[in-house]
Amino acid sequence: MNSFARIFILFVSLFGYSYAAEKTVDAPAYTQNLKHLYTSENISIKAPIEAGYSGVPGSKLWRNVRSGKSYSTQAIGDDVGVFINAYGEDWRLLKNQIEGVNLILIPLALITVMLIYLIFGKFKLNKGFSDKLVERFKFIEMVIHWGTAISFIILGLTGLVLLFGRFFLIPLLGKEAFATLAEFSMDMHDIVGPIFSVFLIAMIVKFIKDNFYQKGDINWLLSGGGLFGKHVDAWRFNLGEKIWFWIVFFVGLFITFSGYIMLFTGIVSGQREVIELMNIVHIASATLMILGMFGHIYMGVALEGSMSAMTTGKVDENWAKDHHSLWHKNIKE
Amino acid sequence: MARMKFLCDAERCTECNSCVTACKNENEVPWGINRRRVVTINDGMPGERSISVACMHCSDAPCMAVCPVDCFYQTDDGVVLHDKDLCIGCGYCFYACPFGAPQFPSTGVFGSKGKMDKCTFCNGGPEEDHSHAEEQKYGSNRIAEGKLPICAEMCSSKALLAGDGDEVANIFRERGTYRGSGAGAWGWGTAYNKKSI
Ligand code: HEM
Ligand code: SF4
Ligand code: SF4
Repeated sequence: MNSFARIFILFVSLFGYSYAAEKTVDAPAYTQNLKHLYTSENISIKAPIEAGYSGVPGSKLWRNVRSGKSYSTQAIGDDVGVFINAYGEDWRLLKNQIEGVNLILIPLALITVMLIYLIFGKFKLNKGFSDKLVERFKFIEMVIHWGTAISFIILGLTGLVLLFGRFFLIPLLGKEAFATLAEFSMDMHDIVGPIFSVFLIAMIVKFIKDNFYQKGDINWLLSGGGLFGKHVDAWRFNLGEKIWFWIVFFVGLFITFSGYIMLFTGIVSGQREVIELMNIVHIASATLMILGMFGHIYMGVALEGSMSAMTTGKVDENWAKDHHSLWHKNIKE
Repeated sequence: MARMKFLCDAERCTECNSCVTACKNENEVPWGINRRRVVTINDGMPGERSISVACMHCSDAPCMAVCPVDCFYQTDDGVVLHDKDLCIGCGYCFYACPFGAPQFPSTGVFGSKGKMDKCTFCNGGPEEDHSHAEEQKYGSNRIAEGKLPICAEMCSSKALLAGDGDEVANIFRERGTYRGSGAGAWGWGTAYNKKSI
């Protein structure tokens, strides 16, 4: 086709197009016409309008395409009737943002905890060890604690491999080796997840009765938790430990819930959006719990005589008097 | 350099599923995997429209960005391909993709969903062109033979176009100018037994 013919056709069709458009833009009149055409009661007069068929197909049709609703199709599978995954990009961008925040918060928390340790060092017992031991945890309580701790660390590490491996481990390992590691991490995460949830619930059940507010707890907080030299009275768990318990309680349940929903994909259709949401909840709560864990481990390491509570179940009497005086008085009676 | 594109003309697609069938046959796509599917809005009602959907080989592809093992790559023609040897079946590409293109052999409840599979623009994968391994994992490689994707070639109404973006756009633009749209379209009056409004 030579260029003259092209221009001619363009001109003529533009003219025809605008003529047709002018005739059809009058939407109400057009709808009246359609009402004539489709008189069957079964067909709602709204249908042509909803389809965007108001003479100029387009906006409404493409809005429906973008809506994320499910329409009919011959294909069988997950979300096959949906044209556009309406929230996929939102999910990806949000995940990126959380990753960015993680990259700042996790190293920052590590450095802070280490700095505090370097500055304050170990918190010595007031009168040294007395060599008299008091039972603090029963064997079953220690099993539950370490079960939770070990599965938590495995989950945290494997989760972080999936989250950040692409940026930090691929340059080190190469793509093939990292893919093997990532697959292993994912399988581990999927297997250890449910184990963690069992321990978590056991721990909640076992420790909840000692973690409600008790008289005097607020004093512990007001005097800085004993960080500035003077020891403060506390029950079996001080307010700091109680707060950590409730963080584990709520955040842990968020992690578990979202984790299970992600595990059991393929059961619900329309799952895609649910999983996008759950993934965000999961990563955000995992971050919180990892941050809290740094503080928790710091306490175990920095307070002289703490560690044996969870390794042998027994603590020195002087430790009990220093850190949990009210509890100690209680069990002596 | 060509920039490959798909375009489905919603005014032409008749939901015949030829593209789906052609794709299944050409690439030996297993049961349960939909590299291409046809979705119909307002099925059986006035204003019904069908569109054939597959991977659209995005310029700045979300799947590529989200994959934890970085297994996607984009060819010089703009085709988005992936390496099944690296894929761990996490499903993230499916959650990020705007078109629901990535597909998985297993919808099981636990662990990996298996190696992701999706439309390759009939361009195979990272293996050597036309090797046995490439055919087994990714299906045919028509681009390497100088041909375009089979789905568009087999489209009965030429609604589905595939090829260089500029050419596809030109064809579609010319089509649009010829035929008009809505009630102004050529043949509308005859079809609905009414004078064209
Ligand atoms: C009941 C416990 C848990 C279950 C069932 C669970 C399950 C999952 C699932 C299914 C995923 C999606 C990726 C995959 O398929 O592997 C995931 C991701 C993740 N999990 Fe867990 N999880 C649990 C606990 C935890 C804990 C305690 C942490 C952290 C300490 C954690 C950290 C993560 C992270 C960071 C990701 C993100 C990986 C990514 O998006 O790339 N999870 N989890
Ligand atoms: S799989 Fe989805 S996100 Fe990736 S290139 Fe294809 S259409 Fe784009
Ligand atoms: S399923 Fe495979 S291709 Fe998709 S994001 Fe996960 S590893 Fe990458």
